[in-house]
Amino acid sequence: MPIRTGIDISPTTVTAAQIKIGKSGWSLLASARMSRSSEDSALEAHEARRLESLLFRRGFTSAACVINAPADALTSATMELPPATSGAPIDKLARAEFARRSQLEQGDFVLSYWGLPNNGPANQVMAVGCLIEPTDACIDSLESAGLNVAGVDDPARAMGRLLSGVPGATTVRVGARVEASGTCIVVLHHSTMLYSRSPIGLELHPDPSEHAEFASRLGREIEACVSFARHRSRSHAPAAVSILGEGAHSSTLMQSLSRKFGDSISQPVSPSGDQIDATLAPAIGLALLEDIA
Amino acid sequence: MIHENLLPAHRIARRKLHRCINAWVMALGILGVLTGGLIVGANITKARPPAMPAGLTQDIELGRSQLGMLEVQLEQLQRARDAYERAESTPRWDRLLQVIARESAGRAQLKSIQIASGSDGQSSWSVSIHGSTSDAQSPNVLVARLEATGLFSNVRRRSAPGLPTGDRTEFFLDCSINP
Repeated sequence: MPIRTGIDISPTTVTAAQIKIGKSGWSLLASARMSRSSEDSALEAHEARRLESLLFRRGFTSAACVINAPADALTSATMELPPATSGAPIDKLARAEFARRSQLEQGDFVLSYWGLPNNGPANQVMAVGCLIEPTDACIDSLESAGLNVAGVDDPARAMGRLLSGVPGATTVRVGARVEASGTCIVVLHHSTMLYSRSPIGLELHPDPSEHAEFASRLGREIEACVSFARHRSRSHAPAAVSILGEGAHSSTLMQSLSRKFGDSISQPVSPSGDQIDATLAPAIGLALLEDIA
Repeated sequence: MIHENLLPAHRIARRKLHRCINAWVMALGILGVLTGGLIVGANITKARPPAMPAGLTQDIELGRSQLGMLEVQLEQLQRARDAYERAESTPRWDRLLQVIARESAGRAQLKSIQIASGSDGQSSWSVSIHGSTSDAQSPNVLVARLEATGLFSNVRRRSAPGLPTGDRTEFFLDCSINP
């Protein structure tokens, strides 16, 4: 049974979770969290060494690591491509179209795309491009500390993988990762990520008295996302809303959102039914990446 | 839905190469261990004969002890045969001395009898007899008597030293024996 380590590097903290993946799902083996001393997307050498030492002390075994792509390396776009049955070189077209839209050279990024649900003949896809240079710098710092980086993923997609396991037969799922450094909202139709966005100025304030106002703004953003997803999927079924990250530990925020969304608030659980620590969710989502090099 | 890895392509290629090298190193290591094991096993098998059943081992031990006894007996028989062969080719000196003493009794007093092997090895022997008599004719009589026994041939008296010493005459006789 493979063991994977997910390492989520944010501007303020590094969160790591090690899981064991079996036939009946995954189980958490170890977790660790440390604050950062710099805000660069890549860890400084001393930070990487501290992280490696922390993982060793917390009982992490040597395993393939999956990290989140640096925020400044990621670009996403929605594109229309010819249908798969057309015989056109779709991969090449997708790459060329993404490079044109993002004004990048074709060799400068790694591209991943997936089809979006639609009822028309058009083949609409969502594409994520990851710039190679900043990603390499991030991997180099970790590998120089002795960590074995075998995968890189978009943190929004990692959240989406974890939210796919949220109980309930809802068509639309919305996950909001709320951190002091910002908020990221991910919208899923079944297990397909429709889109993700990071609203500007939606940072969790350290003062809990500010959290009620924050919850109101976040609620409006989530409602807008749910409306979009319902419109997109032509479904009026109730949506499931999950709050991840440090925000899930704010009682003021969670109470406000519970009042607004009622039973739609559904926090992720592990395959065994245990509640997941919401701050570990992004790292666990990274560790769940299946396409490991 | 399976998300693709966003790891840069050159890193994926490098990881695949490392995996390939590791697999080869491991395969070569296993092959080396197996080969080494086979060589050591072959050497051990060559150095130590296979263990035999207990009954067979006892039979072999018994056979070895009997063979040892037979070797001792064979050695004794060889020694006996050698002694017999030596005795066969050697005159009976006791009988010879008895004959010489008998034939010289009352006529001569023998001082020495020297026996030497002939020039052709052990097939003939030469005998030199030194003695003294009370008269000058007795040595000639002794020569005739010794020849008459048929045991001696070429019996002759050496003339030179036969000088009288007081009232006795010393004599020297040479003869040969062909057993």
